[in-house]
Amino acid sequence: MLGKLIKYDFRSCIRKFGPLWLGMAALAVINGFTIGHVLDNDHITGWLQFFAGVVPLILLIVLWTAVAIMSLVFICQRFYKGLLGDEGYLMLTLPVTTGEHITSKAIVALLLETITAVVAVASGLLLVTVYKPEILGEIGRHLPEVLSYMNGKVWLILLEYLLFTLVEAVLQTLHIYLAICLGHLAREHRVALSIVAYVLISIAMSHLITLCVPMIERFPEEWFITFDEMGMHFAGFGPIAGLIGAGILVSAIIAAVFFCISNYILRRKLNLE
Amino acid sequence: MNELLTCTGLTRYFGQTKALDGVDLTLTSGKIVGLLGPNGSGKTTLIKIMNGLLQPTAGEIRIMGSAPGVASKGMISYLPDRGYFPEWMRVGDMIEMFYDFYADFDRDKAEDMCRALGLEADSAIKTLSKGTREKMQLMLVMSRAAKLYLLDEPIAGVDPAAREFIMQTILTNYNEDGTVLISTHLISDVEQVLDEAVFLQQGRVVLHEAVDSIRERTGESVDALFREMFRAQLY
Repeated sequence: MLGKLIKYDFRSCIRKFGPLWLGMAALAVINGFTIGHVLDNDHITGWLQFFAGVVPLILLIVLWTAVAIMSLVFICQRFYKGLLGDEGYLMLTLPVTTGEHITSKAIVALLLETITAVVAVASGLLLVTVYKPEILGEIGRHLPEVLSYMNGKVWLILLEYLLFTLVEAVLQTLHIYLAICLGHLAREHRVALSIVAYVLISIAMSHLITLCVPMIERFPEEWFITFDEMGMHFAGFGPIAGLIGAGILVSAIIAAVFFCISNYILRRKLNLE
Repeated sequence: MNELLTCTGLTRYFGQTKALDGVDLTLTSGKIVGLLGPNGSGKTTLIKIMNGLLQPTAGEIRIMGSAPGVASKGMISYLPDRGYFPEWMRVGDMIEMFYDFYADFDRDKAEDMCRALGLEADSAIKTLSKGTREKMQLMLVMSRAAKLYLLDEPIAGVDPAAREFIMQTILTNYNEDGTVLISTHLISDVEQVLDEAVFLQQGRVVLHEAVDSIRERTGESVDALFREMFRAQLY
C-alpha cells in the first residue's frame, strides 16, 4: 500500500512542479541565447540591453527562488490539507496505516527537494551550454585533473556527507510534520500553534547541536582537508568520517522520534472536526 | 445474531460539551438503518468514531470484532458530510485510487455511473459543480461491495430531484449482504427504505427498533414519532 500512496502523492507533486521544472529549463535556454546575444553585440545598449540581457536572468532567479519557496509550502500543505483537512476524510479512511501516510509524504517531499535541486543545477549548466558550449568542453578537459587530487577517502567522505544531507532533509520534513500534528491537538488556532511548536522544537534542536560544538572544536586543524601545491591532504579521515557518521546517527534517531510521535498523534489523537 | 458493529458506553467530549453520552448500539448485517436525530444530536460524531476519524473519550467500538483500523477501513464505505476530493485530481484519478486501495471496488460500475453523469476520465475535479462532485462521491462510495456503508447526511441540502437520485443510487447499488447506515434528520425521505431506526438525542440512543415494529407499536410513521419525540426539544 505504501507504493500506491507514494504514486498519488508523487502525482500531485508532478502536476504542480512538472511545469515549473520545465519552465526553469526553458528560461535557462532563453537566457543562454539572450545573454550570448547581448554580450556578443556591442550595439545592443540601454533599455534593449536591459530587457534582452537582464530581465530574463532576473526571471530565472525569481523562478528558482519561487520554486524553492513553493516546495516548502507544498510540503506543509500536502500534509496539513491532505491528512488533517477535508481531504483527510478520504485519505485517513483508506485501508492503510498512519505510519504509511507519513512515510509516503516524507519520501515524496525528499524526491521533490532532490529533483528541484537537480533541475536548478541542470538549468545553470543548460544556460552555460547554450551560451558558450566550449565552456563545458573546458570543464570536461580539466575535470580529470581536479579528480586526480581526490583520493578514494575523499569520495567516501563526500558520499557520507551526501547521505547526511539526505537524512537531514528527511529530519527537517518530519520536524514540520510533528509541528503540524502537535498543533492539531488543540481545538482552535491550530496553524498558529503549529508554528509555535515548530519554533520550540527548533530551539530544542539547536540546544542539542550547541552541546556537540565543544566536541568538534577539540578536533586538531590538520584533521580537516587541506590543500597545497602537492594536492589534497586528509590526515583525519577516520575522525571526520566518524563525526559525519555520528551526525547521521543522531539525525536519524531524532527523525525516528519525530516520526513516532507524529504517528502516535495521528493514530490515537486524531480529531477531524 | 450476525453482529457487524458494536458500541459499548461510547462517550465523546468536545471541551466541556458531551457530544456522545454512553452510546450502546449493535448493528447486524443485511439491514438499512436510519441514524436519526436533530442537528447536534451526535450523528456525525458517532459516524466519525466508527471510521476512526475521531477517538472516543470513553467506551469501546468493535467492527467485526476489531477496533477501527486498517481492517475495518477495508470493510467500511464512508460518505462524509463534506467534499473530500483533492483539487489536483481528475475523475479518472479518483476511480483509479478507489480501485487501487479497495479490493471490493467495482471499477466498471463506477465508470458506467460516471459516463451516465456525463463525466469524462480526464475532467478536472475542481471544474465540476458542487452538486456533480457530491454525486460523484456517492457513486464511488456505492461502487464498493462493502460490509458497512456509513452515509452521513447524504440528502441534506439538496433539492427533491437530487434526493431521489441519491436514494435511487444507494438502493440500486449497495451490497445486500452488507448494512447501510444513513444519518439524516429528513426522515420522510428515507423512511420507506429503512429496516431499522436509531433515534439519537443529545448524544444518547433513545430508540433502536425495527421500523415495522415502531409502526405496529405506535400506530404512526417513524417521521411522526420523530416529530413527537423531538418537538419538546425544539421548542
